[in-house]
Order: sequence, then C-alpha cells, then structure tokens
Amino acid sequence: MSHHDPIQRVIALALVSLSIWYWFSADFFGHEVLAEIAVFAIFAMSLDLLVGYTGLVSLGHAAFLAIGAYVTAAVTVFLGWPVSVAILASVAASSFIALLLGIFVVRVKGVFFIMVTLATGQIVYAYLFKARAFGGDNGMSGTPRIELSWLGLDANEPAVFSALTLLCALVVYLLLLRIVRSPFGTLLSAIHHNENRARSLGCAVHRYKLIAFVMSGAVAGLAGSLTAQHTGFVSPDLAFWTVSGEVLIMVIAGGMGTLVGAACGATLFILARHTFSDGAFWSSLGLPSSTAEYWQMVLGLIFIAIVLFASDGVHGRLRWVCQKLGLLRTPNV
Amino acid sequence: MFSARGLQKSFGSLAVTHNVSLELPRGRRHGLIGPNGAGKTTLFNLLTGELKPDAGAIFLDGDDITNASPDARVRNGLGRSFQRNNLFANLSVRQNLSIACALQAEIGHVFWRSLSKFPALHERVEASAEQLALSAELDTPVMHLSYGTQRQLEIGLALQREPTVLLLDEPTSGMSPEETTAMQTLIKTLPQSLTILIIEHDMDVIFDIAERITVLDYGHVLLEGEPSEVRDSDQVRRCYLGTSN
Repeated sequence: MSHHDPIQRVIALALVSLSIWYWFSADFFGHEVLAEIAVFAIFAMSLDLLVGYTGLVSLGHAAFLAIGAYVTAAVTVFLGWPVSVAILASVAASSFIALLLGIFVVRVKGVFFIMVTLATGQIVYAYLFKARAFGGDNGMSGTPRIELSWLGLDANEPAVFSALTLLCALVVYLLLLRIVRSPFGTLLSAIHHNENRARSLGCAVHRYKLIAFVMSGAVAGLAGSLTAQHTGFVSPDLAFWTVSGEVLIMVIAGGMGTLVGAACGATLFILARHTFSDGAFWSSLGLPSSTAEYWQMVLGLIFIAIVLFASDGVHGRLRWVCQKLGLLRTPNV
Repeated sequence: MFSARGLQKSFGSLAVTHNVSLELPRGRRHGLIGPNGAGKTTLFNLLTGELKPDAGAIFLDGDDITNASPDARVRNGLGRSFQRNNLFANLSVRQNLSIACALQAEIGHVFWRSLSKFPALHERVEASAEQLALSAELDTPVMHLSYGTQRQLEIGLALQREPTVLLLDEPTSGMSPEETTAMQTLIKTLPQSLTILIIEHDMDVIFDIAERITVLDYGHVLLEGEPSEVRDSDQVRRCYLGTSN
C-alpha cells in the first residue's frame, strides 16, 4: 500500500540505469552474470508477493522454479515444442501445482506454513531426484533458448539473452507493482497486518492467500523457464530447500514488501557470490586465494549482520538515511 | 430479524452456553449483561462464527447461518466490533477505512487496476472519516490515535460493511467518562434500522441505549426484559452482588 514511495522509485531507476550501463560495457561473462541476476530478480520478486505483501514466509519456493525449469526442458527436448510455447507451459504448470498445494498450505499459519512449504518443496525435489524420465539426479541438458530469428536476433548470444531476461524482469516488476497497488494487493497487506480483522470485515482470507500463492508460483515458474534456457541444463538441485533459503535471503536483504528490494537483494546476492567465490578477489586483498572456498561462510556472516542491524534491508536503510538527511518527510506522527 | 435458538456450547464438561435463545427484530437495541464468566463473549463468538455451537441454530433474515464462516456472516450483514482494539495498527486511518470500503464495494478481486483509480471509494472513505470526526487524522497511523478514538474507528470499520446487525463487544471498556459519552452519542446516532446487540459493563450506558436486556449467568439466561424490569429484579441483584441472604 506504499503508494508514493520515493525510495522504491529511486531504487528502481538505479537498477534500470545500472543494468543498461552494464549491458553496454559487459563482456561475455558479464552478460552471463547479468542474465543470472535478472532471472533471480524475477524469482525474488515473486517470493516478495508472498513474504513481503501477504506475510506468508515460504521455504519451498524453489519448487516452482524447478517446475518451471523442468517443464521447459521436457517439452522442448522430448516434445520439440517451440520455446515460446514452453514458457507458457511452464507458467501454467507452476500455477497449477501452486493451486493444488496452495489449497492445503494456505490453511496453516506462521511457523507451520514455513514447515509445510519446506516439506512440499522437498517432495518436489525428491520426486525430481528419482524421476528417471527427467534424468534423475543427473538432470537434463539440451534446453534450447527462445527463437528470436524473426527479430533478426539470436538468443544464444549472451548480450541478446541478458537483454531479454532484463526486459522480462522489468515487465514482471511493473506487473507485480500493479498487483500490489490494486484493491487485491491492498487486501493482501490487510491480511498481512491483521488477518483476524480482515476476516471480521468479511474478507475470505484463504481465497486471497491462495490467489497470491498461485500468482507467486506462476512468476517463479517464468523464472524457472528462463533459468533452464540460460544454463541449458536442469537438475533437481533447483528445487532444493537451500535455493528457497537463498531467495528468501535476497528478499530480506533487499527489504521485504517493496519489490525493488527483492530485485536489489538478488543483484547483491549474486554479485557477492561471484566475488567471494573468486580466488582473485581474495588475493587482491592480500589474503590466500583459497579463502574463496569459504564464500558461503562469508555470505552467512554478512546475512547475520543484515538481520541484526538492517532487518529492513537495503530499501529500509536507504529510507532511514534519507529521513536523517531530511530528504524525506517523516511519516505523519 | 436476527435470532438464535437453543444455543449450547461446552468446553469439556463446562457448559458455558446453555440453551440460550435471542430474538432481535430489525432496529432493536438489545443489551447483554452478566457477571464475569457468565458466557457473554462465548455467546458473541457463537453468533459471529468464531465458535461453532454444539446445538442450536442462528438465523439472519430467515437464512440459517449456523454453519457459515465468520467472513461469510459479515458479507450477509452481521458486523462486529472487538472488545480490545483490533485494527490495522501500522496503517493510517485512510488505509484502514479503504480496506473496509474495498471489501464492501466488492472490488477485492480487482488486481489489474490501481486502488487510486476508484474515486468513489475515496469519496466514501473521506465521508466516513468526517462522520467519525477523523478527517484531520486521515493520514495518521492508527497506533498514534488516542485509545478512545481507536475505539470509535473500531466501530467505524464495522459500519463500512453496512451491516444490518451490529454486535458491539464492550464498546466503552477502558474509556474515560468523556470518551464514554462520545461513544454513547455515536451509538445513539446510528441508523434506526440497524439492529444492535451490545455487551457492556457500564450499567448507565446499557440502560441508556438498550430497549431490552438479556441477563446471562453461568451460561443460562437468567432474565430477559425491559431495562426497568432488569433494574428492579431481585434475582439480577443477587447474581451480581452474591447471595448473602
């Protein structure tokens, strides 16, 4: 319900301009990183609709990423469908699974919601791990990228694919922004703030949560389809709970309930992962390059610091700084 | 007509509601009193659907709503306020009222249009704020309002749903005498067609507002009658003061 949130606008503009600037200056590897950031920004924004706006903390969101990725891989490799149709199939399949799971999971609250989404996510992981048809624990390779020859472009070019994913991220952002500012989004945040009161005003709380769960699953499915096209490879690891944990970290680190925060968190997380797992970075600091093997520990320490000192994330801290500098009117008290 | 017939509710072996019936014709102002533990709030929760009765039935304008969910009852015209303030505390008065108005306007499913594109809703929010004397506080977060003002908004939110029956759970609890008077005035200015069932500890308030009063004691209906009957009843006096003689 943050209608005129200047910080949101500033972060959005900053992310868009940084992406454009970096897109023009990036090399081959740079475009790979850019595409990865864009895909995870989409994934994180989809989770923010649940966590930040509806107050449903899911620890099984990777299931929808994996479903989206596997459907794109399966229908293109096995059935030879065009990738454009495969993307729609991915979104449809992840929405459908979200609907089936959602009917049950939206009935539980708080820590039980976390546990039941964790369990459902692991069920998807366990299935994919064993499913011979989809390559079991080896996964599947050979997913093609979307056909853009009608535009005279080749999506296998890193620069073309990174531009495509960035464009998708922008469209998803604008779409989700529209949703959270709508009457529907207003009621989601009402449920988040006081579920009981929303119900006693006649809000069919479960139905609203279910629709949010399905929308969130649909967008995560799109991210999954893009990640399958990006790496050309899908594996059960996509559904593993640590992926759900990472995307939750992205949302929290960026600032929950702001959308741009999630995109920002995804950007920082992926840049940090690439930086800290790179031996050259540690050598340049005068440390042994083998420190890079402990990159997860470094990220973990940073995350602890964020939760302790900046639990409102990048968005919240930026807002705080602007208020201190008098750039932003403090809320009417 | 809002009625309950033969409501029963037990928690384990403790019968907290025992064969309670109520009949409230349209526009009735009905009081519900009784000592602590008489089962007033349990009866309220049965009527609003927070609890399911073990036996008995509840009717709203001829429809059996005994098994309807709390939110479905609200959509059928049964509004309620809470004993303790139960608002969207971090949100502004405007946002609180917008939520209730959006639900009343049945636009909650609209996800493709911005809320700001519904001018009728905003006019309504501003009109209700004026009615509740909250126009100056529209953009104040609810938690910064005084306790009494929050109580007013509490009822204001329920009224946005344009209920035909309004259940008020101790609307003046914890209020100063001035705030109590303001609340009494607010309740009395509600439309005559609105049926009101009110739990209240302040006897001056209840005798002022209610046309009929039901006295509960240990889950039973001890007495139902005009305020004067209740005031003069030895039985009621004994149940409130204890049976020393």
